[in-house]
Amino acid sequence: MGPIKQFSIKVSVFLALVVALFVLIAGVNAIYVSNTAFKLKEQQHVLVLGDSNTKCAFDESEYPSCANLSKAADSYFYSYLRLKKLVAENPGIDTLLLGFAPHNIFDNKRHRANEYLYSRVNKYYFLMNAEEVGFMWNQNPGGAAYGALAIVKQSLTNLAAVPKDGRALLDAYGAYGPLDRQILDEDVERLHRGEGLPFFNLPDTMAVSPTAMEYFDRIVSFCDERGIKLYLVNTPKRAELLAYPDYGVDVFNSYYDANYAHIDYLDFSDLPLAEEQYADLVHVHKSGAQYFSRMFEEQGLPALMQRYGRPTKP
Amino acid sequence: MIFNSLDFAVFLPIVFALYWLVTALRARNLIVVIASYVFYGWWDWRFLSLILFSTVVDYAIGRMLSTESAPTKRKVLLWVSIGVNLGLLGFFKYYNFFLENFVSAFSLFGQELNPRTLNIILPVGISFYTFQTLSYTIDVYRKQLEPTRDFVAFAAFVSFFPQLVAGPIERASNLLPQFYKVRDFNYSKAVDGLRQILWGLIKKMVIADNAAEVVNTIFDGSGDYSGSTLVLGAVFFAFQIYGDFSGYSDIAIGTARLFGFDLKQNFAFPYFSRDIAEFWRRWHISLSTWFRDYVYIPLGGSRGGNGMRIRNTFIIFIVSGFWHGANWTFVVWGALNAIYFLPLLLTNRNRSNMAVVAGSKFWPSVREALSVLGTFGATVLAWIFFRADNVGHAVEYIGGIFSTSLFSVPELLPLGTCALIVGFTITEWIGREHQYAIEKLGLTWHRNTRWLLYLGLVFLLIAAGGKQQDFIYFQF
Repeated sequence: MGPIKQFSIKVSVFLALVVALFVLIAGVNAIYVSNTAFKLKEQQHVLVLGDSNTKCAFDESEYPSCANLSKAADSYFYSYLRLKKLVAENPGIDTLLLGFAPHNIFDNKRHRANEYLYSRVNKYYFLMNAEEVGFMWNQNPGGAAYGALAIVKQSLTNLAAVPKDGRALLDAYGAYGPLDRQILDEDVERLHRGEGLPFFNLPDTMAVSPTAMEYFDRIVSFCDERGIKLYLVNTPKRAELLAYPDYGVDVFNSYYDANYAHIDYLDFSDLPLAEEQYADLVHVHKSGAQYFSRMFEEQGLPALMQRYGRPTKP
Repeated sequence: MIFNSLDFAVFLPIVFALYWLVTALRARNLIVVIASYVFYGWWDWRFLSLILFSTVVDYAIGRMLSTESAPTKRKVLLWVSIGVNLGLLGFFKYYNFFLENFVSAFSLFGQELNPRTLNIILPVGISFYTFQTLSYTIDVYRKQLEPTRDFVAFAAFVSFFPQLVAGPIERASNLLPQFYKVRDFNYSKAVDGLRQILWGLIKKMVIADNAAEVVNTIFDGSGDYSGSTLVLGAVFFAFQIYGDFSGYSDIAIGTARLFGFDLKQNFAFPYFSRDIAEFWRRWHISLSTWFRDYVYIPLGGSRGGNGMRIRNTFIIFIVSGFWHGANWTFVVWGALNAIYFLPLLLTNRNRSNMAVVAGSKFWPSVREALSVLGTFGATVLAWIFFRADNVGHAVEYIGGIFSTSLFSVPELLPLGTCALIVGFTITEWIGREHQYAIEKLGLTWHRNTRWLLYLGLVFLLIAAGGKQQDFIYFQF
């Protein structure tokens, strides 16, 4: 056998071993995570999904029947993946509170960025079917490929993680995240100066994202098919942001009225909170989360819908 | 494209296959040229014109030098080459720096100027390939090298993709002749090349990129941290820049070996140096020897009185510093190293430590250990200037170190990264007598055990690799 052929064969065999070990680790991780991260407590029948808005707003200790699996910067695609798995593992889920705000429906190029995909592929690979893999790949093939390489690192992190509060891997797949910061004044100043905000990206465009809404629609259909009551939730935001033209509240409301007015929508965006109950323009402080969550616990969803629901059409 | 990227992982096997599929020497050299231009053009295809221009000019000058015997005309040809190459480098790298400092100097006299600065993009690798081609024309001028008639071989020498963008800066006398002879595939050399690539990737992705995250945090907020944390930041930067730069060199040398080429060692375990002179014999060897042979020695070197030696030493170190970037921090870094070096030179102790520290023993003597630690400390202090945003930032950083909080517990203590650095340093220490740390590791083991080692290193790379950072020397 010539030396090049010998070299090529040995390199190929070695690479095959690497791939085999990779698949083994990824497989073990998938089984482990499937059996730990998505098991909720029995009393948790209300599921909360969304991005950082809902992540910081629903305090499970104040609203024990909810399980908050929101994740910062999430798009509806990832919320949908988690929803499918959570419902499969927890048949007691009968209600979904889904984050719904202007920035969720407009096109967000950050969702296609390398770093974004890098941090998600390694967590969601085993939750996706072929079509969903294709969707993710089409967002940014390079980013998706890099994210695949991170599966080993994430797997080892997962396997070494200590379960907390009866649920392993908190925040890898979403969790309540109380916010301690209070930078409302600085945020208002930045908004007036037209500067970027440190913990929130204003929409780049008022164009509704077809890909975001594709998976929003799938969430709606999924809930409909399984008899899960869906409420869209817009968590409290400051008036300065709601009035800001580039935030797109009017476009957003018109879009809802035209397309989703048949879905219950709890609009708390202008809920009057004390200043210290805001962490910044778009997130509530942990004290605000306690107050907000207690409302749900004490009043219940039907009552809240009567008071804060945007008028729906059947 | 960068070495630790999927693009390169696809590029390399394709080029490897094409290269060894053809047998004709000229065809192989042409594949090297095409692959190198694709590699370089991946960043920005517009800069291919610069490297092509530099190649054509120096090839032509080499040919003219071969037929020109008149000393004055030969000198003119040499200076044309120097002018073209340094002119390109000067314009792209230093135009705005000189302009801004010129304006600042005028403002000291109460004159305000408003010249136009240009939005100049620094072409990747320009500091490296201009020096590489200059070494060719200077050696031809000195009649130390026969000028080449083979343009393809010369173009391949200038653009050779493994070392094009961050060195080693190869001498024409070493690399160019390798393009003249047929290269047969050597199994051992290729395997050794892969091992060196693997070690280079470990240095870059595991050591440098992990250290970089800590370094960036500490340097960006240096005013808020204790002295001990600032020390940690500086030490981590020492490992970041070593892992980054020597890692790149290892990957470059290893990649070249896959194609049958031998490049010179560029880093010889510099942090185990016992004095600063030894450090500069072991750090970025290709650049320091370039400056020695083409600047220091022509200036008179160490001949002449102390005055000349001091002058030449400062010139070399400051120019070397300035080569790294258009910022006064690099000049100060260079000057500081000159100050470290001079006492050794003037007392003729700059060649005291030529052999590897601790010989073939595992443990160094107490004196050796203290010398190594002292030299490391001095280089870390100098690195602060290298990393800082400006001289003021570096001075503040050093001031922050030498404060009452120097002996407090660091606010940031990334134990994982610390453990990686300790493990890495031990491995480097054990392998310090070789070209790279793991050159001989496992060669006598059973193949299965050796493969387990390789698998372990690959998975260390995947599992412990830090957030991807640019190679530091790409900005030079």
